[in-house]
This record gives sequence, structure tokens and C-alpha cells, in this order.
Amino acid sequence: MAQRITLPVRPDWRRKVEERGLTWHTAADGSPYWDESAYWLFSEAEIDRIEAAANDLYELCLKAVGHVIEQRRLASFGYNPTTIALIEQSWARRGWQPTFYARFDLAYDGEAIKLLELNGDTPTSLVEAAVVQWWWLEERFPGGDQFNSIHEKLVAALRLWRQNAGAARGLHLTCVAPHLEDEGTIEYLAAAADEAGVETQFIALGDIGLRDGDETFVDLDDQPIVSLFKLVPWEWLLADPFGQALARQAGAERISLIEPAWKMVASNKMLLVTLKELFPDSPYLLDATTSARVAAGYGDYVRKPVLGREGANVTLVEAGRTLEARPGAYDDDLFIYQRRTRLLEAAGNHAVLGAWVVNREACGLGVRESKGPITDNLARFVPHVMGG
Amino acid sequence: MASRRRSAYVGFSVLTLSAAGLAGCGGGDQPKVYNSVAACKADHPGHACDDAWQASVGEHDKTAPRYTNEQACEAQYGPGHCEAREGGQVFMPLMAGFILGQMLNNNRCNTGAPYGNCGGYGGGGYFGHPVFYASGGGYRTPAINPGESVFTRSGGVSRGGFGATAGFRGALGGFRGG
Repeated sequence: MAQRITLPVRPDWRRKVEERGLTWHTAADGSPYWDESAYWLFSEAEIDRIEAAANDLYELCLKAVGHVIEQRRLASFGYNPTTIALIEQSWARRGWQPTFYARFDLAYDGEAIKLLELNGDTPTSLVEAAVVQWWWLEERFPGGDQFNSIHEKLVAALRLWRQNAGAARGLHLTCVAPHLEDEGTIEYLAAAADEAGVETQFIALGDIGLRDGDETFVDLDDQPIVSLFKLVPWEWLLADPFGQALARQAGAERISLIEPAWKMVASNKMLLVTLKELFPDSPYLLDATTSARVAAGYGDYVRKPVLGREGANVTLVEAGRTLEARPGAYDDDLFIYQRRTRLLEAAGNHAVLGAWVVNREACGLGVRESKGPITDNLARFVPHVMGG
Repeated sequence: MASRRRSAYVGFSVLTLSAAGLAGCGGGDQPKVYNSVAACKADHPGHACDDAWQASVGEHDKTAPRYTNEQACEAQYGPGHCEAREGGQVFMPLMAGFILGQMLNNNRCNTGAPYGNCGGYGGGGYFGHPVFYASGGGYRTPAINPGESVFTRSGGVSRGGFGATAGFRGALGGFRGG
């Protein structure tokens, strides 16, 4: 079973990870976010199981998203009519489009693998998983192996996008700026696009222009933005002053965004309830409900906002008593309750496995560790090795 | 080792900011702000500071937030830190200074990286960004805050209509999440 093994950090690790794009390696309190004082060693058989779980779960999610859309249940996911129309349209038109990336957060206790969350719209820790831990292995364990072809698969997906979208269509990339982590992630995505032959142009989110009259979104040179890779959740964009114009322009196919709008549903924790309802026998799904009364029957459960991120507003209940409650900005959201499960744990470190899926193919793993039982934005990224 | 599990090669290295800025710092550190080209040159001889200054002025003129009245502007950037533009039609924060960074890999500059378009940002692998005064002292960069109004630039293009929700959710300087 998976083992947590400690080892000395590389003396100049900060410079090394910065060279690979990870400038946000240290938390505000000075503690490392990138933590190479340990690594997780998985056997190949374990990786086989994690890979199979992520592949299965992705297909189940696609079915569940399709079900929710076809059964016209999107209102119960917290969406207004404009957003619902947008999601329905993007689902109907998905056709050839690759879905770029998603990350499943999995609990694994050495035996069962359970889905905790799905992040289908703006998954974080991409650079850490795809690049930084790849180079860490290269240096620490030359000739070693890792579950990590995220970069290759991303480049392949971008290549597919280019072939289908036509060479003339450049790709704008946007995120909140200044923002060390998001700009660094965009930098990496731009490099991957470059490798795939896609021409890119960065624009800070606040700099995106909206032309009067025809409502064309434009960059700082007043050139139309036709394709936009956004490192910002759809829900946030739609809630912004330009949100209505975005809905109209995306609906009219005058702008297309990566990820497509239906990926919102694949980031909404309400889908955890739908999944369990549709696939009660899946070994990967925990009980989940919107009913506090049903949850009380679980004994130990976790209450999560459906649109929450990074552990915000998550409440952990054990035998009816609140163990830990996290504050946050998601109090206005709908909530779901999920039966609690055990995490991989060693020396007081609770590890969640982030399984990456790129264009429908499971292709990598990133482990995040917390001292407490709720994985939040202080959770450290710890590299992994796949051994014999 | 060839493995179906692992990328054959991940040829990604990035900009590291020069000694002026972020390299070697913790995530919470701020880049150094220069109030003048001369102050910058004390750290960085050569043309880098001139280029970065020019690029910052250009970026400031193009992208600094516009407010319809001086009060709204000063509420964000502090008393005396805003100026009238376009014949008093709009108010913009003064450029308090700039930050300087360096691209490690110049090739990245041309492909639209975050500080993209090296031509516009000084070329030669250096870039500059303008900074403003903050209302509570110190400096700030052009982030749009919740509740700030959308402003219109000349040429019939509005900007600043995205980002308010991200700011409210604490993504600025924090985490986007997911």
C-alpha cells in the first residue's frame, strides 16, 4: 500500500521549482506549499486502480451531466435561466471539441477509492502536477516512474483544438492579474499551446474590452477575442457586469471559451448527489444528499457548498457533532451533504489524491496533504513516485 | 525511462523575475517598486529601466482604471493620487512607479505569456508594470474591486467589466480555487 517516505529537500529547491514556473511555492506564513520533504510511493497496481477509477468516474460524470441537462434539472444546481440556456447549448454543440482538463479529488485508504470532489472547470495545481513533480522525479529518481503524462496529453488536446478550430484562430488566455499562481498557470498553458502550434495572446481579466454596439469582446489592441482560455470559473464571469454580454456572445457563437459552459456542471457538487442517484452501485461514489435529515442518518458527514472552492464553508460532522467548520465566501450557495470517508494518512498528514483527466483520458496524479481533515488552500503539494 | 505513464519530456521553463522582483521570494512577498528610472538604474545599469519605464507609462495610459469622478478614484488610491484626463471627463490614478522583471527565456515573450508582447513591455527580455498608490499607504496594482463602476474608454470600448466577482471571492492575491 501507498507509503509516505521522507527525504531531505534539494538545497536549492526554491530556485529549481521557480525555474519550472512554480513561484507560489511558499505560503503566506512562510511554510512550504511545495513540500518535497516527503513523497508518496504508489505501486503500479495501485496506480492502475487510480487510473481506472478516474477513467470510470469521468464517463459517469459525462452521463450525469447529460442526464441533468436532458431532464431539465439545472435549476436545482443553482443556475438562472440565462446560464441554463448557455449550458444546454454548449452541451448540444460539444461535438468534436476536446474537453481539456479536469481533476478528481479522491480519497484512498489503501483499499477503497472514493470520489470526494470534481473540478471540471478551473482545476488548480496543474503546474505542480504536470511540470514541477516531473522535474523533481527526473532529478531525485532518474529512471524512476510517475503517473504523469498530463503535459503530453494537454499538448495533444491543444493540437486537436487547433486542427479543428482552424489555424487562423488564435487563442486568448485570461486570468485575474496580478496573481502569482494564476498568471504562472497561464504561462504554462501558453507554453503548452505554443508546443501545439497554437498562437496565444494573454489579456488580464480586467482588461478585456466590450465594444459598444455589436458587443464584440476585444483585447487591448481592440482586436476581437474569438477563443478564450479562462482561468476563472464560469459562474464568476457570468456574475460580472459583462456577464450578460458574455452569455449573449457565447450563445451566438461569436466567442468560445475553454472550458465550455457545460463544464460548470462538472464542477458543481450537486452532481455528486446526481451521480449517486444514477449509479448507486459504483464502488467510487459516496452517499450524498441535499437533505440534512438524510445526512443525519449518515452519522459522520461533510457539508459542502455546491459552488465552493478550496475547502471554504465546508463543515465536518462526526456523530452529529461539528468537528471543524471553515469560513468562506460561499455562504450564499446551496449545500450538499456527503458521507465521510477516510483519507490516506501518515504521521498526521491527510492526503487527497488529485487524479487528472485530459480530454477524457486519466493521465496523472497530484497529492495534496493537510494537517487537518479538510483539504483547503493551505494543503501542501507533495510529489509522488510509482514503483514496482 | 520510456513509460506510457509519464510524459517523455516536459520542456517548460519560465520567466523568472530579475533581482528586482519575485525571484527567490516567498509567495507573500511583493516585487520592488521604483519611483524613478534613476532609482531603478541603481540596481540595474543599462537600458532595462528606461525600457521598463516607457512600457509602464504606455500601459498606464492604456489600462489604468477610469473613474467618472475624482472622489471615487481617491477612495481607491488616496487623496491627491488621482489626475483628471480627457479634459476632466475622467479621473485616473497617478502612476506611482513601476516594477521591473526579466524573462529568463526570451522565446516565451513572443507567444503571449502573462507579460506577453515583449515589444510593448520593453523588449530584450525585460518588462515593466505600472503601480498606483494605495489609499491606506503603500502601493497597489490595477485590480478592479467589487462595486467599482465599469468605465468607458474612447473608441466605444468598455473595460473592467470582468473581475469584480473574482475580487469578492478573494481571488485577488489569494486563490481561484478548484
